[in-house]
Amino acid sequence: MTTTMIVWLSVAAFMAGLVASRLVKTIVRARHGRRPIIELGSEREEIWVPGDELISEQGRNLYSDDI
Amino acid sequence: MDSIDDTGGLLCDYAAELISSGATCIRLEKNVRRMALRWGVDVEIDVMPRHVHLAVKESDGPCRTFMTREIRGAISYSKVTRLSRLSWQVADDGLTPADARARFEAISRQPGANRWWILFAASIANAAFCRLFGGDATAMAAVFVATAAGIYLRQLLLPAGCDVRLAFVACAFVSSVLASGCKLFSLGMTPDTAIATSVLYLVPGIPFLNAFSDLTDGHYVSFFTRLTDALVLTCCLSAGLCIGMRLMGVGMF
Amino acid sequence: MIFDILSDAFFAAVAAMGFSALSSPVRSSYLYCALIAAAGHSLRFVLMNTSADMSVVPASVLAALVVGVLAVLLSPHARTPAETFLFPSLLPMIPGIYAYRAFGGLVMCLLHGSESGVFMHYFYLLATNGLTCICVILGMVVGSTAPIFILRRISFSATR
Repeated sequence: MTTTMIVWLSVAAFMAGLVASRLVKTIVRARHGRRPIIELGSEREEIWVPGDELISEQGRNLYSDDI
Repeated sequence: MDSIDDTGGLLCDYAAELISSGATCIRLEKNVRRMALRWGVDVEIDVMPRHVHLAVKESDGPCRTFMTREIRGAISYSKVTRLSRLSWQVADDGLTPADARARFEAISRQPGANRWWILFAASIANAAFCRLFGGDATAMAAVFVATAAGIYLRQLLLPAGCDVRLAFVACAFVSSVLASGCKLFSLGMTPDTAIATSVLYLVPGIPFLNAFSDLTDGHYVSFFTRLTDALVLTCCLSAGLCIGMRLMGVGMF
Repeated sequence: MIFDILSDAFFAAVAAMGFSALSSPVRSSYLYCALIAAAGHSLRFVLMNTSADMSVVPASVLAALVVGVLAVLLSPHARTPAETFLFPSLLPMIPGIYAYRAFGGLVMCLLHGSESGVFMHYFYLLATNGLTCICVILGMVVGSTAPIFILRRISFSATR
């Protein structure tokens, strides 16, 4: 009885573990490289007004007067 | 003008793809001859266990032979259907070998059915099977879970390059052990039916039926190939079932 | 009785439809599979469980013949080869339980080779179940593929 219980539990646990690990891997892979839906933005992004320097233009805007 | 190399090569690849997708030999012969007749060549086909051997002859030209390896994998009746339609398109609409080649490549690249759909459908089917053999609702539920686990394992093992026989032993083992849970925890009135039915999704029914169809038509080599393949897989699933039942202490009767 | 026949037909249809998914058929053929399997399996049920009281072998052969004829006649409508729904709808009729019992008998024969009484019991089980299983499969295959060969013109121009 004990042996059969151990066999059943180990097979069931193995299959459950397999499914769970694959699921986690799939979720991680799906989220990788994608921006999260809700995130805390930087201060610069939040109070940016048109005309301000963009992050991509940083240091390249030679005509900026705010030195 | 298409050369005999193009025509023969296409016919041979077509034959190998059709036989790998699970068509019977009589259908293979009919389809290939139909296309060959339209393109004005004579063909003879040998279906060997691992390759298709095709001899092509133009009315006044030399005889050429072609060989293509068969990749016996999953049976796909949608491919058989589309390849059969292609042969009629050649015969009726007069497709050239070059056009037929393009369509053939598109058909052979088509992906199989969705794996989650296969998993769900086969599990439901096996549970219904359990009911047909007199199992109660608990047994059906156990068979559903056992089948789903077995098919999931098979879908992981086979693409990972695991030997198909080993995969069958493993799947039959897992399914039979999980279904034995019915007996272990005294669930339901028909635990034996659950255990017996839990591995039936692995029985290679279509190869068996194809083999006997080939036998009826006199294709004895193909009959033996298919029958032997199916018997080997049946032995493997029996071995997995046997190990599972032995470990779970379930008597045969 | 009617309820039994209907439930037999329903579960046979579900089994055939599900198993046909394993051979990835074209989508339209699932319905034909279910219909043909339901007709064939319930016919076998009726032949075996009513006053006809047939044994499993002739009942399977007759049912397989009906399945074969239906599959060939319906294949031009679905524009697919008859095997696409013929073979999956035969799967619920494959005598899995007999095969299982025969295999069980074989294993028990091997385990109890030294005790002649027990051995004979299991050998008897192996022989009866094994013979029934083989006869049912052979009969079914002949019964179901015969229509394909007899109705050649329909079965090989279905995809035209």
